[in-house]
Amino acid sequence: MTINRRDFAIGASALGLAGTLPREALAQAAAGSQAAALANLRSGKPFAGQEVKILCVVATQFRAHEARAAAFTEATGINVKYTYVPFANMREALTAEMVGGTGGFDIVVVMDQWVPSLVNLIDPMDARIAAKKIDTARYPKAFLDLGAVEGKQLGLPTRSHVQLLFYRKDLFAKHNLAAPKTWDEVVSISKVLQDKEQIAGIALPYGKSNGQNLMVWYNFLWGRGADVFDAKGMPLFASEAGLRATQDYIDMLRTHKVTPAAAVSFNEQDAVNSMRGGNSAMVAVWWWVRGGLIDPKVSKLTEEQVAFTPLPSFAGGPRSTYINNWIYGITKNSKAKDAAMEFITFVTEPSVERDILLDPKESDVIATQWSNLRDPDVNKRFGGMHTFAAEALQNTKVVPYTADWPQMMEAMETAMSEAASGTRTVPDAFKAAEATVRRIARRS
Amino acid sequence: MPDRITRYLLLVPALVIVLGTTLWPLVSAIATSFRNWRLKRSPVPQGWVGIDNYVFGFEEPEFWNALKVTVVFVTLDVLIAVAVSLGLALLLRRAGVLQSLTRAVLILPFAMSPALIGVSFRFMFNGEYGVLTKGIGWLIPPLADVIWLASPGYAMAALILSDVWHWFPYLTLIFLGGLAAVPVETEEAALIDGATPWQNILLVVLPQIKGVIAVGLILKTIFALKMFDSVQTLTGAGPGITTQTLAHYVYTIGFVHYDMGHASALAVVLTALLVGIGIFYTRLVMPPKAMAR
Repeated sequence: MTINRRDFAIGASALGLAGTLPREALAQAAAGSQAAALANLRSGKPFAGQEVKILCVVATQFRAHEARAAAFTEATGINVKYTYVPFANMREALTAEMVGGTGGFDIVVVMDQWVPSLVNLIDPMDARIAAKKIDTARYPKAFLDLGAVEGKQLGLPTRSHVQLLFYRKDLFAKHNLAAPKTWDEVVSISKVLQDKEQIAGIALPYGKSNGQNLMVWYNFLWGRGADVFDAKGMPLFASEAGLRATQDYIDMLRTHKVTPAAAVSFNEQDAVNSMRGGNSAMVAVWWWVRGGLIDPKVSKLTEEQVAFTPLPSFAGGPRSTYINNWIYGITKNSKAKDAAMEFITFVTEPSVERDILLDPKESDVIATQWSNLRDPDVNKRFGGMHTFAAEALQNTKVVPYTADWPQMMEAMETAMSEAASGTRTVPDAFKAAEATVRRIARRS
Repeated sequence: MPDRITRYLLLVPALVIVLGTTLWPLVSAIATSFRNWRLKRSPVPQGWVGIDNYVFGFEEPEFWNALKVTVVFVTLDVLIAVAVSLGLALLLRRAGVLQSLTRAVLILPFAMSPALIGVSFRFMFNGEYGVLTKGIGWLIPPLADVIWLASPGYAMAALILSDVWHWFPYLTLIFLGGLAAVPVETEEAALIDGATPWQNILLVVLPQIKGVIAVGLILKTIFALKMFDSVQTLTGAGPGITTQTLAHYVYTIGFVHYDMGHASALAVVLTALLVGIGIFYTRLVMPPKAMAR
């Protein structure tokens, strides 16, 4: 945590309020944060001339990392080259890299759900983390756990998401409504808004698309005291509590009808589009979506119209968040592993993350480290969003991913799609999914 | 060097490329289909497992669902695409400015990527703002409240519609080529003999382009059997797995489940199906005797 305090001292003294500081002060702060990030690198440029090639998903955050790599290159002599792949093709690209085994990339950016099935691609990083004296306590444990397999840390968190409930502040104020704390309140508020404003209450995704129709549902499970798996890794989602939670989730669409009718085939993007098009009053989604909800180029809404709150739960239940996490990992076949670790050490420094969070040219909300989640300036810039995230992260559960997870997830998202479209009842669909998941586990 | 040898030598580069890009992957897939290769366990194929992958594949209810969906999709898709294309070709076969312009514009949909078409149709079938959802609802009021991608029947209809839209221009151009070769005299003779316009088309024109129609049918059937892109981008194989075709199922087994042995076995089955249909059609259109001639 020494590093964090030092970063705070450097950053906070220079930055103050990021959006209001003059350009010179920002430049000084950036220089300060880079100096802090470079301090932990090996002196003498032992890897000068090497190139670190990074396979990366398309995201503004990684563009921001790439933009900051110049200082790293200047300090170490190591060149950094990013290759970007759209999310839809990312797993195939990683698979090709694993099967090809050519060491074409030194660093790969991998999503949590894929990590266990890509253990043959990524080198465990524990020894390197220890050698670089990186304090892993700077990360929420949930983020770290999602980058580990069988006790081995395969990478460091770099892009992590929590969920929030975004809502129409203007409409809530107009009808004297408070932000909902429970799903029952979501239903009652939705009915008021549907009645008075002719707008759907909450946009939720129920269609099949990379498991997106499960992402809010996990919170329904946890809120009802159920879970996806039991301690032995066997399915628990079709237990009595699990089916009740699932029925609650489906009821939002089919019984209470507080979602748009079209939500039955919505993916996450459709749900977001519904709110920013002015068709829904709430959406439960990742925090990074905030920028798009208030971007005048793609949204009818303004910053004054949109507020957020932690995801609701059931009365007395925990207000949880499902989380998503991407890691920077080093490939097993890399020929520049030490140089790659130097770059990871640099780019995952809390000061670099903070620098991006407070950069007026950037709009990414991503923070993976406690110091930045609790940073007053970061919270000031994003309206306290990171404090909510930090609170949710204290209590949240994670889905224990295994190598079979993508296959199991597909069975569950299919069941959700069937239940939502009415082609099967909740018990029928999810009991069948449970049988499939058991079969997968047995075969595994 | 004798001409005969030179001729064969000149063919070698092309043969190597063709064999390397088609035969080798096929042989490799067949070999993999008899091996245990689960990518999450090993990046290289493991031991030989005999016909286990085939047996396991046939035991899975999802396989039979995908086969059923594929049969329904191919049957409807091919019939509608060929009928629409043939009708349009008959309308456009006469010379004229409008016809020439239409023919030029026709090729545009076929130039688009199938994945992009799927994404575009997903937007157009969006229940809140989709232009097709609104347009169809305006034209046919009972369909105004339909959420197209939310029920199995309508989702299949959307899938077929997107594929027909993609393919009808190409098929129309093929049929136009065939129609151009029909001698005008045969039609004039039929009309002089008292044939109605419909009889002229059904009994005089279409029999003369039977071979071209068969080529269109073969092509469309083979490509329909391989339908993947729009399933992935338009319906996501849903609701549930009600629009999951065999090609999409093979992809899912290989790249979602990471079971390459099982996926290879299913790919071999799909390939056998394609080859079988190709042979069936070829024999139907060009019987062995005709081919010998």
